[in-house]
Amino acid sequence: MPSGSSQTTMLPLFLKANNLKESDVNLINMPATSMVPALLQGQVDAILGSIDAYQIQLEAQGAQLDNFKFADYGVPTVSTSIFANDTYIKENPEVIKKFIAASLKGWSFALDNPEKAVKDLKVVFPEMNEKLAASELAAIPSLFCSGGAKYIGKAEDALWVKTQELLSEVKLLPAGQDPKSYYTNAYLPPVSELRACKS
Amino acid sequence: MGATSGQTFRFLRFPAALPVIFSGIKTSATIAATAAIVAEFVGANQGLGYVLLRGTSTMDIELVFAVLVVLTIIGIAINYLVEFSEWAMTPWQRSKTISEATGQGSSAAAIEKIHVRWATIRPAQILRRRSNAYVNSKMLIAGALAVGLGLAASTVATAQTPITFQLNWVAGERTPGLPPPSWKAITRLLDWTSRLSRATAPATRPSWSPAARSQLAYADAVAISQLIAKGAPMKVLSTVYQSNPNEVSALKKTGIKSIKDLVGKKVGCRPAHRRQRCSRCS
Repeated sequence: MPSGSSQTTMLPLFLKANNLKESDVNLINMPATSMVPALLQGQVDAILGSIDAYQIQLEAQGAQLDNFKFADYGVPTVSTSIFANDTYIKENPEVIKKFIAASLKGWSFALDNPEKAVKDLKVVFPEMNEKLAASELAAIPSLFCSGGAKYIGKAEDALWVKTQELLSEVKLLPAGQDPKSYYTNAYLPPVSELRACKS
Repeated sequence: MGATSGQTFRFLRFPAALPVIFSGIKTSATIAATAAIVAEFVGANQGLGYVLLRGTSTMDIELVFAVLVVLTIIGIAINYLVEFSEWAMTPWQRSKTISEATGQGSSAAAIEKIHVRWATIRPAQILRRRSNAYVNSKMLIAGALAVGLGLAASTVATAQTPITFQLNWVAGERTPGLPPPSWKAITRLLDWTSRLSRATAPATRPSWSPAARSQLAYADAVAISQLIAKGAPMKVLSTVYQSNPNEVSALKKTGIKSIKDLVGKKVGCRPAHRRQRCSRCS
C-alpha cells in the first residue's frame, strides 16, 4: 500500500460515494499488524484493506473474501507513479524519457509474463519471497487501467481533476490547487508507443 | 618503585581495571546486537531485523522463529567471544577466581599481588605480555567490527552513480517493485550496465527532500502531490497505478454482499495519524 495513513483518511470518501455516512459504520482503530488476524478471528466484520497487501495476506491464510475496491466504487485516485525533481528533469530530459519508456516496457513485460518477471525480480532481490511476489503481481493488473485510463503509464487529465476534487474534500490535498501543477506528460513516450488499456 | 605515572597506568592501573571494563563490554556487546536489529526495523531492506519484520508482517511464523534462533546463537556467540577475550587478556583473574573460590582473596589482595609481580618481572617479560595483550585486543576489535558489520549488513546502499533510483517500498514485499525487465531495458538503452545502481527506502514513507540523492523515484502520487502543493520542485512523470489499491475486505461467510451491508458493522482500520481514531479522520 503506497501510503498507509491516507488510506483511512480516504475512507469517508468511499462511504460518501456509496451514500453512507461515517456514523453508519462502526470503525475500529487498530495497528496494521492486527488487521488480518482481527478479520480472520471475527473480531471485526470487515477491514479497510488493500488489493496488493492485506488481501494477499488474507488469501494466503485461506480466507474467502468479498472485496469492494475503491477504484470500482467511486474513489479512483492516482497512485504509484514515477517522479523526479525539476532540476533533474530540466538537465536530463533524454534520460527521463528513456527511463520512463524503459520502465513502462518493463511493466508491460511483467503483465504479459508474470512468471518470468518474478524470476527476474529474484535476481535483483535475492532475498525476495517468490510466492509472495507472484501473488502481488497477480493482484495489481487491474490498477494499471483503473480510473478511466486509456494507456498504461498515463493518467488522464480527468483522473487528476477527480483526484484533486476528491482529496481536497478530505484535506489530503489543498483546495484550489491546479491539478496540472502536480504532473507533466511531456516525458511520456508518444501515444503510439504506449500500451492501450482494453476498454 | 621507580615507575613513572605512565608506566603505572599501562602496567598496573589499566590491567587492574580490565575486569570492570570487560563486564561493561559484556553488557554492551549484547545490547549492540539488539540495537542493530532495532535499527533495521526502522530503515533497512536487508538483514535479520528486516527479515524479522517481513516475517511478522506476512504472518510467516516459521521465518520469525528461524530468525529468533539465529539471533540467540549470535547473542551467545558474542557473549562467549567477550568472555574468551577476558580470559585471554586477564590471566591473573583466573588465579584470582580460584583464590576467591578458596576463600583466600579479595580484589585488594589481587591488586597487591599484581603489584608485587610487576615489581619482580623482568622488562622482557613485560614486553612479551604487553604484546600478547595487544594482539588479543586487536583481534577482539576486529571480531566485534566483523560482527557489527555483519549485523548491520547493510542498511545503507551508497549511491555514487549517475542515476539514483528510489523505490519507495520494499520490493517483493508489498508490490513487486520495478520489474527487472525495466532494468535490462534501461541498461541497454543507456549503456549504464556498470554504473546504474539503486537506492531503496522502506515502504509507507514516500520521501523527498532536497538532500535526498534520488533523482528519479516511485511513490504514491498523492504523497508526491502533497509535497508539490507545499512547494517541492518536482513533477509526477508517469502514473503506473491509476488507482489507489484500497478496498474494504470482508469474509464471505460474514454475508456482506454490498457496501450497504456495512451499515452497523465493525470495520477495522488503521489510525490516520498517531493517537487519532479512525472515526475522526474527516
